[in-house]
Amino acid sequence: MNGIVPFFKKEICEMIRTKRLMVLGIVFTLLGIMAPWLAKLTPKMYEMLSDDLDQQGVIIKDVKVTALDSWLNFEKNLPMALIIMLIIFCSIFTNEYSKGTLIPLITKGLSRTGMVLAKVTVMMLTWTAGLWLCFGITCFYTDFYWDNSTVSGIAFSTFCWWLFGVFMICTETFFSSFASSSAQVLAGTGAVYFILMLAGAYKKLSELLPVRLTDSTSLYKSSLSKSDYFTAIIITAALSVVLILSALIKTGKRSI
Amino acid sequence: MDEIKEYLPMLIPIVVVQLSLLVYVLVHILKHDHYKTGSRALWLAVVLIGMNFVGPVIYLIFGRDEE
Repeated sequence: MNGIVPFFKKEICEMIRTKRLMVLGIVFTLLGIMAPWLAKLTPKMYEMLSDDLDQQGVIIKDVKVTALDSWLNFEKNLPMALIIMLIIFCSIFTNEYSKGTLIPLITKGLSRTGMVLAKVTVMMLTWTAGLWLCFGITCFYTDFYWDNSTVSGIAFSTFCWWLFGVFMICTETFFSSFASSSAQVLAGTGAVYFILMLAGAYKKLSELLPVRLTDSTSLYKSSLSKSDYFTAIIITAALSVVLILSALIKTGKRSI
Repeated sequence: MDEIKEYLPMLIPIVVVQLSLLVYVLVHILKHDHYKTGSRALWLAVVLIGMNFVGPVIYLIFGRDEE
């Protein structure tokens, strides 16, 4: 386990110097503002379209936008934020393996376990900070223009999204432990995401899968209660731990 | 005018963030001549076409050389 602190410092330094932190900060901030912004603009957009729609027989009378629309936009933006983050982090392990930059550190006695754990911690910290920054901005503007209390479970649904993101980070770490290029890591992580989404279309199965956590709409509209998510939360957390453990074992054996 | 005032609290941060990102990325492209892939002309086109933060973010992820 020794080496987790120096590796952690190195990762933070790398995040800042390669400007990854800045890019992610801007992405999360903008996506946070975009959600209420689009909701605010929706009536205007309908107004502009109304002439065309009139000719087709669709008549629009005053469109009401509520806090719910803003939060639905927020939910739609989150996959984009997650995907951008996963793309940025897909080379965090493989770059070092292919360039051999880890050899001096490992041969000096720092452990591989520490290296993996430090990288995972940094990724999770970034996701946590970014997601809650995004949430905070949307929360502020939505409350500014409408009323947050009309939408239920906003914090809980964001927590579910956070856990789903953690699971995807663990998946990426798992693929990084044996893949030889960042493209393979990205392909593997993308395949897991895609398969989960497909499997989630099957109703009975979707209650158990991590994709259940991405279903914030039902929470906002109170058609599902918090307790409906607990099985998925436990399964996702368990899967994440298993993925990290197998990544640690695999990384311990791979040639660097 | 009142209508614009209503939008200002959101409009100002969006404009500030997007403009500063655009300027930073444009300066970065013009100052460097090595990119991960593509050429200067390609990245200038991408960034200017996708001005509202999509272009600059694509450049920062796929174009900016990290060396």
